[in-house]
Amino acid sequence: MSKPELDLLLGTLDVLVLRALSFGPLHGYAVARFIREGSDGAFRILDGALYTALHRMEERGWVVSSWGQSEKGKRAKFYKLNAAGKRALKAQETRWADYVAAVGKVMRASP
Amino acid sequence: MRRNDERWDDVDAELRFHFEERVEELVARGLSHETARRQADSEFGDVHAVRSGLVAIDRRMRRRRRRREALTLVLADLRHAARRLRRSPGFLFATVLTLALGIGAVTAVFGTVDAIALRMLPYPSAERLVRVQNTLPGIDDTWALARGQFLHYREHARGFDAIGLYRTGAGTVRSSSGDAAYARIALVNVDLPRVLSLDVSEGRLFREEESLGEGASVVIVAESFRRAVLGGAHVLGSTLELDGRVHEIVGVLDDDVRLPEEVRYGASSRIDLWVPLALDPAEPAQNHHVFRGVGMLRDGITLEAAHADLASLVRRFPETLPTAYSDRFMEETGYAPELVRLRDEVVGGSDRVLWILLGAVCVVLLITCANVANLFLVRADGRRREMTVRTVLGAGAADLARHRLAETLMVTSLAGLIGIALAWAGMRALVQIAPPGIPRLPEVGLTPNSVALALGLSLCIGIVFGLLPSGGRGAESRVLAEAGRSLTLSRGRRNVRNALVAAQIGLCFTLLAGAGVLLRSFAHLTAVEPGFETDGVLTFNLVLPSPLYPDAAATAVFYERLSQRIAALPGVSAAGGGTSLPLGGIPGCTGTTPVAPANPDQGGECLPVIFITPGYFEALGIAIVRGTAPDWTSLRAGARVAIPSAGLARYFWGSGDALDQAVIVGGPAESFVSGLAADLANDALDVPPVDVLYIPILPPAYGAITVRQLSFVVKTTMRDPLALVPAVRTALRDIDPSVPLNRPQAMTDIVATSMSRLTFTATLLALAALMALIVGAVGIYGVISCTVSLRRAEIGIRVALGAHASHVRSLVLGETLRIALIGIVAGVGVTVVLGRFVASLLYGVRPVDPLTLAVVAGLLIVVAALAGWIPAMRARRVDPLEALRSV
Repeated sequence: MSKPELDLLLGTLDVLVLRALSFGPLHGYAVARFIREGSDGAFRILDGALYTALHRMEERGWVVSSWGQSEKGKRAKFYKLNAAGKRALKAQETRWADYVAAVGKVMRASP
Repeated sequence: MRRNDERWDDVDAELRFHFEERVEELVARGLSHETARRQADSEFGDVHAVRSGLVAIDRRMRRRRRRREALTLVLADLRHAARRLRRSPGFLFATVLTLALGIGAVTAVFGTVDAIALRMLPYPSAERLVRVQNTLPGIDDTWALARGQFLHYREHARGFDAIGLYRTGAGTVRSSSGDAAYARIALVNVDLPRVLSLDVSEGRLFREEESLGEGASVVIVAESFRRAVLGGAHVLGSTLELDGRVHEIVGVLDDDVRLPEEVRYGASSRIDLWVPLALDPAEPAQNHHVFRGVGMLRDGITLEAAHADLASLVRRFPETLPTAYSDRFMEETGYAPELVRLRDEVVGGSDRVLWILLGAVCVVLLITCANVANLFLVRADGRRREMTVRTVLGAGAADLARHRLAETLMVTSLAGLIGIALAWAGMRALVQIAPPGIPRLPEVGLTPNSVALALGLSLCIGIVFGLLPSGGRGAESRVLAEAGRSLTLSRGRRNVRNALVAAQIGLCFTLLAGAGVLLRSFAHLTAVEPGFETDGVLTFNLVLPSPLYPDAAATAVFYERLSQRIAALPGVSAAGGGTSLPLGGIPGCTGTTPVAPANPDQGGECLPVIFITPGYFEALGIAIVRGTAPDWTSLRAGARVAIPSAGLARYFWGSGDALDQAVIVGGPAESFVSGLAADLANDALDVPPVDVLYIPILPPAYGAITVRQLSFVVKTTMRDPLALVPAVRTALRDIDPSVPLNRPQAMTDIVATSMSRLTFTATLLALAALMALIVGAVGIYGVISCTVSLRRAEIGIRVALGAHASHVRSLVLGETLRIALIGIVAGVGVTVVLGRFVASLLYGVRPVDPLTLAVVAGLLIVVAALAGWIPAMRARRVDPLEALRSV
């Protein structure tokens, strides 16, 4: 944990979770690991918020959950993107890219 | 509960898995177990908060999912039911229509009851409003308030916030454009608008000082009157001439501002003008009860407490108001205050009629329900094989019950919707044909309550029908064992059906009997001799403006000229006037004392007095049974005469000669009986004749009374006396253009109005009975014909074994008549029990009338025989070969 941790921008968590699930069904812990490792620990995301996000997405109809076996053979709850979830990911990705581009533009601009 | 726990286990299992995995991974990286745990905890955040958040989300999700599943299930059930029903359109049509009629009838009558009897008065504090009046049990009468009494109450009564006082009357208005118009007037005191929470829409209410002394010449006009008579222009501050006096218009009343009488009688009693009611406290109290009082009970004071307070005041009237009330008067009349809740007074006795009608249509609904229940049973029988097969194929009892419920609910809700439409149409018709005497009728319409009732009824009926046993679980296997072979109907189901039909006939009987006695009493009434002519008699009202007609002599000149002008018209044989007409009711009474009564103890009586002009008796065809009635010549000569009704003369002077007897009417002067008039019905045709005293308008009676309001009667030889109205109007204009002719009516219409309430009730009850009869007949027909078709095989065997066709026919007819007889016997029982509810509406016939019962029984047997005849004929023609082959 040598690098300074960044606070997560509001609404960014959803896009990260959706992205994690875009490779296939994952259980909650795998999603947490994906985000932690993918960002090299740059974000300080509380795992609890992650689970809340997952359940909310299920309620919103973006993911479906089912109980299955983890890699080590334990009972775990898996989440899988459905069509609506994939559409949501696409929309959020675009928004995110626009946002990054806009911020970048401002950072490069000079008065 | 278990499901919730399971839910929580879900969340807990998910979180547990997370922690185990995280700790395991951290331990693998070399952390101690303890440190790993702490790190996993801190990475997670507040476990408890997250957990309860997750549980909440999951609970929401599950609930929504369950609802969606249930909805899908219901929709599927409904789709199935709709498909099944579409396959039997005859069944659908019969059940829906029958039920819709029943539900519609109940809804319409309930809507009427709701508007008239159940809904509150249109005053915000209606529950605190009471009519303040007097009861006089000694002379069996009810009197309004007197001026002295009211002023005393205002000073001393503790039970009221205020007492509103008013008096209605009529006047002649001349607007600035010069046209004369008749106006209904209410003299109101300052407190009345406050008590009833009424207010002007423009301008202002009366001020305290405007009701002092003679009363200020200010007037508040009703919006409708402003439109119709004043031309709808801006009227505030302008003036109008009321009975010759100029009044300033200070306010306008919206048309929904109504006094209790207007609420009760609707548009026909609209008040056009409000004028301040001036009460002079300096004048000595009088026994003159003409003011209508409405009190607002003080918050928290009961009607009983307020009454007790008034009673203690009234008991001391001989001391406190000695000029008006003597000890003897109090003792003889039993004079006491009376408080009646305003709602009860406004609704009057008509809620009784409506409740009876509501009862009648409920019976119709019961009959239709029995009928439809039968149809459902028949249908269930027809589908037993299908049900059995479905059971065997794995459909659970719950599934079958749900399907049945979906079907019945679909039928009944359809019927409910159509019923509401029928009720709406029915109520519009009801308002059209209803007589004018029914209070609050204009408010009748489809109310939220009645719609709720219709929907509730259809739901309940649907659920009950849906839960109706359709053979039971055990029966299915038996049916299957029989492999659908059944030669005839099982005894149990036949009994249920026959009982339902018998019940229909019994209820039908009760309704028909009720309608029957009402119709008989109607017939009795139309046969009553009213004691006066009605054919070809025209009546109209006049109000003379007081400045032009300052005294009795001036009015007499006008009346005489008018009578002579009208009498001279072609086709007219007599014309005259009186302060009241037969069947019009007689307002108030006047103290009358015979000077030499047959019974020396006979004191004064408060009697209805009608002021008349010559021509009144002739025009109405009221016989003078002894002596003579005055003519204009004798009137001008100044003889002070009185004409009592024959009943009154008997009452005062017994069998002795009443002619030339002296009576004191109101004032000190004596009048002498010049003749006796025939008794006649004065209030209504169904009450015994009232004793009346007729007094000519000249010479002026007690207190120099000047009669400026008169109902004129004209006897014509025309079939339609209203054809005379233009000629009368011309005559009136020639004599005095400032006097408008008001409310021309044929006397026959007045008689019809008097009987209209009974006619109305009888019509509606007859309609209900007719509906019941039709539905009942259809029920008998349906059940018998279904029985016949289900017994075809049995009948076929009988025929094959040598039964005669006539034998088969009497077998079927016999069963029909047996059911009908059982129903009729039950119906007689119910009629005897319920008879007393209609007793108060009857005239000349008892509620349990043997003749009516016999006729109704005969009618029902004929109808039952007819309904059974067609299936019986069909049974007779059953071909044994064909019938047996189809088994």
